[in-house]
Amino acid sequence: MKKLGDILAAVAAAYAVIGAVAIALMMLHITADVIGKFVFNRPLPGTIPIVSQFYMVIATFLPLAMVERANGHISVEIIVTHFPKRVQDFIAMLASALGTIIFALLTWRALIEAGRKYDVGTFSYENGHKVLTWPTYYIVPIGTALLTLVLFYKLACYFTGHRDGPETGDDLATKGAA
Amino acid sequence: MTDVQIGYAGVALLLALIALRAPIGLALICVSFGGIWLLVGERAAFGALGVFPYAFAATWHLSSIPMFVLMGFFCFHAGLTKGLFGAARLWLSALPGGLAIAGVLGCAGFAAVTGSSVACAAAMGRIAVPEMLRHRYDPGLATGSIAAAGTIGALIPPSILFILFGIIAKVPVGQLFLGGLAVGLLTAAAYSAVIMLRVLRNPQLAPKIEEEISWKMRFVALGGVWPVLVLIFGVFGGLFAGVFTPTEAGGIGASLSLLIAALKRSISLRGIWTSLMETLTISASIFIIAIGASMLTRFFAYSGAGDEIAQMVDGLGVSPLFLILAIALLYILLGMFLEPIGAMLLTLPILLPLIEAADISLLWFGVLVAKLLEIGMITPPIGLNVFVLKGVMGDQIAISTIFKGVMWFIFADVLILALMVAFPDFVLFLPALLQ
Repeated sequence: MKKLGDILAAVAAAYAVIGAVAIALMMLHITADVIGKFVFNRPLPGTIPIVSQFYMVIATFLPLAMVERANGHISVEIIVTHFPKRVQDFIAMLASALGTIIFALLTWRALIEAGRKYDVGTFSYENGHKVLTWPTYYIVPIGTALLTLVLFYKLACYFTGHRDGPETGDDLATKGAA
Repeated sequence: MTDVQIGYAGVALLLALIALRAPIGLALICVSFGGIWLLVGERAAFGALGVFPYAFAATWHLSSIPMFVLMGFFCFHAGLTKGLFGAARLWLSALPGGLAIAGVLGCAGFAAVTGSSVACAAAMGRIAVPEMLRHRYDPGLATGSIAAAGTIGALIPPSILFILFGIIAKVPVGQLFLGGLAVGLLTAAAYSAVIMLRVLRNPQLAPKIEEEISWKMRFVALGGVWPVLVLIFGVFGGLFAGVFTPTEAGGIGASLSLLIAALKRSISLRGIWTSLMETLTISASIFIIAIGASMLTRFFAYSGAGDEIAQMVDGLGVSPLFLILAIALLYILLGMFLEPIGAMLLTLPILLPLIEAADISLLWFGVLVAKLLEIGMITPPIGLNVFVLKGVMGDQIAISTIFKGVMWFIFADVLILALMVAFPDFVLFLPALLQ
């Protein structure tokens, strides 16, 4: 059980590294496009589809598992914190169960959707440049599958009495990002 | 159950799930999926589940959020904004409560590189509050002014709230930014006035500081903040002049701040990596909620509940003013329990049809919603900014002291709200100039 948790943590961390690299590339790509456009009068081909369909999709779906492991998804604490610890754990278990079901369904449907895009070979066409975009549809199920596993692991921990050892959420500045 | 009843039941279930600490994104996706299944059928529900997440995430305009967030983190980790408070305090030393006013202006400056009011309050709290306490300022005034001024972070561009509102309500983000700029600057001015009035009435709140400050010192301090000023004018000048799209402005802003930090040798590789990871975490946790909100919009439209509420409001013959007051009340109540982004994404699918039916300007409404939600950041029981200040100060100051200090600024906020409702042009004139 412990080993499974470690593997999930390692994969989630690897996903996050890919996500962080995507953010860096997004910045560099946009900057290069702006410089190209205004200095050399030649924008970088395919910037819009590459930023929105590659980097954005990676940055949205790959970190979900890491955020879930750190309990960093935005939620309302105020009411539940007054409940006894056992009730709180029970409610958290229900949320994990609900999450496991809905994200398993979402992964399955996103996979079917990606298969459809693969079959027709979906691409974007911008200023005479063709960008193949069907591979990006697979990023959704790849990300949400790991999220589903992390949620299922939390559920299993509740029933086996195994202590789930998530990283501390202190260093995550997710709460109240407005 | 009729379709409309399913719509209402969905909203009730959604609120119950959120109250029980279900992550907001998860609650939105579950309720919308179930609702669409009941209303239209299994195929539509599974279809939405497969299509919506990708369709919402893969948009060009949304990518301005990670870019602006990254710019803020680079500036923060490189300490580029540290000098703002120092420069402001030297220039304002003659004013009553000068240190507190410098804190407010420091927040306003920091607001121009961050879209988050919590980040703003935390960063300025660490710098300005210890300095005020060292000069024997009243602790309530010291912490209250920074907790309140933090809310300027989400009003002065860039603002995550405005980018999301713009995408959902289809209002140009640049115009929302300009409307927010007017309200943000007015808020900074009003808070400064509150501080001066309080100190003039009771000078003990902020003892006069006896120190010689030469003009040379003032200009040297100004020299320390010019890179940030160049960054701000370049990025937003380009955006407002229509040269850059919001995404381009954010991307350029992020690389420019990294470049400045590298030239000043004030950011480490570790700082860069931390900035990227924090940006990733914040972006993903916002996007999953936004995806859920886009599904809720569809579910609510299928149910017809929005139309029914709009007809009901119309049938009651309430004036737009009354409608706005009711919505203001709703947001202030929600703001007491929910953080702003969640509260906004949750309510827009339901409220936007009402606003459109009443023929109220969406641009003006967006700015009003941001201001209302930010007031929620400093009102009890969960004023997030107040807790941020408490976190910064530790056991030195009681939470009730901070809430008391903030109260004065809430009065100013109520006046600003009244002004926004009475003179909508105050919000609309800057965006109109550039149209």
